[in-house]
Amino acid sequence: MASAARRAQAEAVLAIELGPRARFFLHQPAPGSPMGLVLDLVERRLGAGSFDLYWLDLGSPELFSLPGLSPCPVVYSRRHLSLSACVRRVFSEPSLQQVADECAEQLALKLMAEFALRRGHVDFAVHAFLKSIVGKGIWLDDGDQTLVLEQERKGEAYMAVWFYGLLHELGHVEAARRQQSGQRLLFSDTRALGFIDVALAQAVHYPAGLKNEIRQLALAERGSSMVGLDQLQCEASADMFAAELLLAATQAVMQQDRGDSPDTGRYLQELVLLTQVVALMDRCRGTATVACHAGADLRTMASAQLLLPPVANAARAAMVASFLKLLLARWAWGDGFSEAQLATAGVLVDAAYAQFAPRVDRVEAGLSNAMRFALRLVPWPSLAEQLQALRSELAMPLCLDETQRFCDLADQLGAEGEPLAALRTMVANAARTHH
Amino acid sequence: MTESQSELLVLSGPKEAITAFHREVAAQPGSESALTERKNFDGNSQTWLAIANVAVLALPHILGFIKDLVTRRQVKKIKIGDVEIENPSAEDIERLRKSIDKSLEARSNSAA
Repeated sequence: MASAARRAQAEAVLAIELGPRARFFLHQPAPGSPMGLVLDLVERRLGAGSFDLYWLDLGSPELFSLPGLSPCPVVYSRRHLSLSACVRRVFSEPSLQQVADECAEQLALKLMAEFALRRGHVDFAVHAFLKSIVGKGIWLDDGDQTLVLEQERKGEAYMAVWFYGLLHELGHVEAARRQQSGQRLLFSDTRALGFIDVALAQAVHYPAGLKNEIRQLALAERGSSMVGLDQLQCEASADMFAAELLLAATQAVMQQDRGDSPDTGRYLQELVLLTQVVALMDRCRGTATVACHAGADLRTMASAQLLLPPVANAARAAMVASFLKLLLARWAWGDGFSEAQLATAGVLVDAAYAQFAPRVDRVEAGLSNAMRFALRLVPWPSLAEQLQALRSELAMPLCLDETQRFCDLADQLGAEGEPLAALRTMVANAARTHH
Repeated sequence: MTESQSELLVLSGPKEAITAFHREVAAQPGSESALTERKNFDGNSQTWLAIANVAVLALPHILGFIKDLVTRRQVKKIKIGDVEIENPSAEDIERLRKSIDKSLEARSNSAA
């Protein structure tokens, strides 16, 4: 099929996945821009014409790829980028250490609300949004951050926030090729199961029976479960692709910007951070999908949604850490690095993961609260009660702005329904009072 | 429905159902299909998509196949031409099939 026809087909699929009102376009980066340099590096690795990057200007926080199509469409959105920057603050800002769980819960509920709006599940979206905003004490700006982010120093943080998630999706092009050509997986089954065991050892609250079930699932649903051995290796190989290309791209961008090189420690910190950020955002998407599912198997799906991702993420992190040690040793000392040098790289990698572990636990607690609410494992207040509680808080400009932005997003997505109408009326009344 | 020889049809749902649809389309003369997973960060492959160019004459058969999948609640979304249906019912597919039958009939009458 001609490339124009393939592209038209891909865009027809994207229109379905993104909704009829989505504004997306094929992204052509300016030559020499950070995005241009990153995509050049990827193209050199994957070959010209192997992917098309689509930028979603308005709408929900999307980041995904369709690696079965050629060229592979990859969707990246302004909203994903802005929320990534905001979630990163929750994981990293020293001033938020004591309240990271509260911030994570609120942000996670809001993310779920936005994903649900896109899927047209207005009732759930409004409930989750109201839960995220009523009684909120800490206000992090999660509005459009692209201009602010563009002005930041072109360093390790800038590169990771803008490109880690995107590079992961582009890594799926390589992973799909490896799969199609029947190439060997990265790790043997025994080694991959070893990584799952490492992850299960960290899951101290899981009963032994559950751990055993997860281990069996890894073998029985290799290609479909997120803890399946093939699926895990496929995602880990996209993670490794992202880690390797991010380091090379950061070097290229910093060199061009100030004749500088990345600091290995900072690169590692940002890599670990952004892995957590993108994983949290994706868990919110997955939870919203399950929460909007009205079928009888909701409870089964809910427990899978709560229990499997922490294990899958920890197993992937263990796989990636083993790769990072090699990557950094090669980066610092070339191909002929010694065992002692590899051990030094290992210390750096382990330290980067350990550094964020307490904060990750705190964020996880907040995320878990948000998921329990979304999956109705705790009783929901009535919509009327939530709206009543919001009414007085709308006197606060920050609250009014955030609620207004949610209503604007609903408008962009063409979402309609009684709860939204009630919210819109309250916002309009509050705005009149302010004026 | 357009006057072209084939119609673009997009189907999304779980892997088994969408793979079966993909194979069925590929077996129809003059039809082709591409299959892809929607990859997100978490590795939870809940959504598969097939993008098919189905020969107009094969459409009634393919819609019958889809109706079976729909009956088993295996289709999340279908788009055919300008019509897009989320969580379609067997009745939705039947209506689509009837409208396509009519359109084919009208086309063959005008050709005669």
